[in-house]
Amino acid sequence: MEDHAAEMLPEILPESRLISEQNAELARTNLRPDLVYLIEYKGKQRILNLELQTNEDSDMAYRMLLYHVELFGKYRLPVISMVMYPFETTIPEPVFREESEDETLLVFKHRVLRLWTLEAEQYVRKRVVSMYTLLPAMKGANAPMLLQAVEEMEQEYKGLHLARHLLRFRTILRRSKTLTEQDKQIVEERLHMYDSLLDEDPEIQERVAKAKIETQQRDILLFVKARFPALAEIAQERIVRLNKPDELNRLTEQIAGAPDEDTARRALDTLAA
Amino acid sequence: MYAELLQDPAIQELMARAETEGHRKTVMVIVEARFPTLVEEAQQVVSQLNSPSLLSWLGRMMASAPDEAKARWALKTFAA
Repeated sequence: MEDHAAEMLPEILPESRLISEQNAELARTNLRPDLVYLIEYKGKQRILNLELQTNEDSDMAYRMLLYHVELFGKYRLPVISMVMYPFETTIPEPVFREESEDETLLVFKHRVLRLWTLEAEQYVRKRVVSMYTLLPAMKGANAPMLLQAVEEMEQEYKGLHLARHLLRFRTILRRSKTLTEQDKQIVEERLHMYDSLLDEDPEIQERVAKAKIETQQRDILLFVKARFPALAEIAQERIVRLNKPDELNRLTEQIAGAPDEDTARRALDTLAA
Repeated sequence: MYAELLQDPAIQELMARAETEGHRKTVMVIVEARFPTLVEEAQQVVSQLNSPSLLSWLGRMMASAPDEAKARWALKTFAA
């Protein structure tokens, strides 16, 4: 939801207002909620944990309980837990119950938002542009309506901001179960022109550069293993420290030109110390 | 799940291209360092290869080729 969370929140949780986005990191390393916000709800500060779920997860209630407990522990504020299902799927009862004999030890409920049951038309009529990214998954969406939404997004957002909105819009469009294939195709064609904007997105540029560096790191390691198997372990440890293309190229050159193992070892020691 | 929802084929394509370019760069750095006379030939072969696994394999062959003749033979094999 990123930059449009403030406008979206009152739509998905009436009577709420965004205060700030919170760092979703939790102390447990394997626990990572999707979106966490500090909000004002009915005039009081609350934490909102919003999860996006595309398929059935029988453990959802338990997972939401874990997030709930951790977020409550971190912020000491009541936590409103909500799961948004963009595409039609079987939804387990949104309640976690812990019982022992005839005693109920714990009951925990979370809210559920079924996107495909929301009427797309109401958002277009009210021009709630912040919700447009989600329109393709909503009830009653069709090609003319989505094309109109794209036009309004073009007026509302510019440059990379627009490209990111449309990227999410397209991802949801492709996976939508409420739209016909023909409608999807018509809207897809309209979105093609934005592909080139992705190349200019700094976040994507960074990911691309990282992917290139990781490939080179893997290649050098394979190359060391092929030529100097005895150096595999030390290379494994050292090469990951090099994360600039120039450094990696220099190391590759030196190892490629090394006449023996000692020279290659020196290159690893010097360049990747 | 959120990250997965935001995955887009256009981005995946960019990432795949980055991986291929990474492999190409490694092959060329190795050839430049070990067999400078084969640079042009290697450049042609590498620019035509789009498979990351083949490029990676070619890199290993260039790295372990004992002499220029073997390296040239490998390049010819991949050019075919």
